[in-house]
Amino acid sequence: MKITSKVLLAAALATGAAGVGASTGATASGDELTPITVGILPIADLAPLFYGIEEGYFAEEGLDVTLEVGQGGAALVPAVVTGEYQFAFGNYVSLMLARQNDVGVQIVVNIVDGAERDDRGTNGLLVDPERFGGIEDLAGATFAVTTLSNIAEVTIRTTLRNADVDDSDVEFVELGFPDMNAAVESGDVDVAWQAEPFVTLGEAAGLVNVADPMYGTTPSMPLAGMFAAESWLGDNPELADAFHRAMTRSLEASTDEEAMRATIAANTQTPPEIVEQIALANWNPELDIEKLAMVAGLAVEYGILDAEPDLDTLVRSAD
Amino acid sequence: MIGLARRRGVAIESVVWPVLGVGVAIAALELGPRLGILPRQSFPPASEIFRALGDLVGGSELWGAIGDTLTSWAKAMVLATVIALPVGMAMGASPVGALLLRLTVDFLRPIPSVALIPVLVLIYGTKPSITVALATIGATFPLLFQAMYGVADVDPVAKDTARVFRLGWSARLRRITLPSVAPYLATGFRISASVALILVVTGEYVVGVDGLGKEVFLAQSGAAYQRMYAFIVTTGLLGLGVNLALLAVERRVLFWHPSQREDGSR
Repeated sequence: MKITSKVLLAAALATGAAGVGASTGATASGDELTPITVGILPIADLAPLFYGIEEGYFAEEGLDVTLEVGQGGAALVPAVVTGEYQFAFGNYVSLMLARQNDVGVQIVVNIVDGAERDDRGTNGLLVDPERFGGIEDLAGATFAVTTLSNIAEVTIRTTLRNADVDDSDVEFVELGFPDMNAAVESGDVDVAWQAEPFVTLGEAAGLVNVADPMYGTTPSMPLAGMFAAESWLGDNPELADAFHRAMTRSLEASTDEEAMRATIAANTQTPPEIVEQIALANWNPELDIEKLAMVAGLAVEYGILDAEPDLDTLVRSAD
Repeated sequence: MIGLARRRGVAIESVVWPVLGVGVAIAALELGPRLGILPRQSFPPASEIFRALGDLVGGSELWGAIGDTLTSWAKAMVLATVIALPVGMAMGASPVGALLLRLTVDFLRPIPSVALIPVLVLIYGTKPSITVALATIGATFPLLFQAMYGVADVDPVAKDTARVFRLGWSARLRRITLPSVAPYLATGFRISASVALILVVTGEYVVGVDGLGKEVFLAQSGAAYQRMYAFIVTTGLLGLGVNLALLAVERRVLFWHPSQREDGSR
């Protein structure tokens, strides 16, 4: 199976090379790979993407993927809008905010949901156990979050309210994931809105995870996926569909936990002994629109969004 | 004889004290994490950092990153020089030039270059040219002001004397202006060089352009702390190397200037 696809690929490349200039407009069934650039973050959540590229799922759909690492939405959204990247990874509250500001981005495929069950997820609220016993103590606490007025605030407020904790006096401070644990240890902040591998590292350093803010908001909360510029999607529906198919296939392969850990170890710089310990993300190619609407409603309730976004334009309908 | 002995004593002292200072700093960084004064998890002991650095020296990533960073830095320095020298010298040489440009320059100078990153991302995207642009902006001003003050500070008696001797424009530039400006420019170059290096690495770190800054970001994102500090140490060593190299050039080019003569006498 693998050999066949490689032979096909080699043949495709050979004919492509032979017919230079004659193969413009090649599609998935054509004879030449279309180069696309995907903006990513160097995180374990993207293991299925790394895996799918290595396994040739994207090449089989006619896509030659180049990955570019960026520093979150601030760099990735402009790069997609200017056409430098065709796709990029982003969280949905950020994309709703972008659309609210008339930045024409659309979700192409879901990648990762929050934890489905109340067991160890990839996210956590980490505290110093000497200062806080549990989530019920967090009224009025200061939270370290990666971006203010974004998904962190939505999930923290909702998780607190669902646990009957008053959220009216909580405060938020912006910090990167790698810096949060030290800030909790030194007492600069009370709680870290943390993600793997720093949840595992924080627990190893003596911090305690009092709640998974994603699960605390809703089980399998849609978190982040691949987005593209609406105008580019309108011009390149075949490429978008091909990317959607390859990404879906990659995500379906994510049930192979061992393969995912090996991919994470190979594609991020997290030391292998830590990769063995971290919780894996809840990967899901299906975007739950009802839950996305719920997240949007919460963002409006907390004043993060001005109005409910139009989900029909935010999400590209595949095929 | 006595003078020679004293000089040798000075030479030995000028080696012993810095070595001792560096040794104490490294010992503190080794013991701090081991004794629990610094958090061990996010602050590995110096020996582990140097081991990670040793591993990197054998591979190609480190040298590739250094190459990328130095390439952006060199481009920025060339651009900054091309912009700063004519503008700065024009401002120093003529009152009209100073009046014309001063307000614009004074407005632009205090804007932190890092604050320009969002604008530059929109213009350049995330290609290496963004770090070059960022570093050029930062490196231009120190050099520009040094050029301006250098030209303005040319000894008026020397200028008048040259005019009395009816020296031509190019001879005045070569014999009077350049020798007077050169030490100012040398200092300007060294300041600009460090500023440019800092901004190149910052741009790489923030935007994700290939180079040492991006390697620091990747290692940090993956919680590979030894590796992260190894790249940070590399950045420091690179800055030190650039400064020493420029000092050596300065010593050769300005050997005649009082600041470079050993006894410092004028």
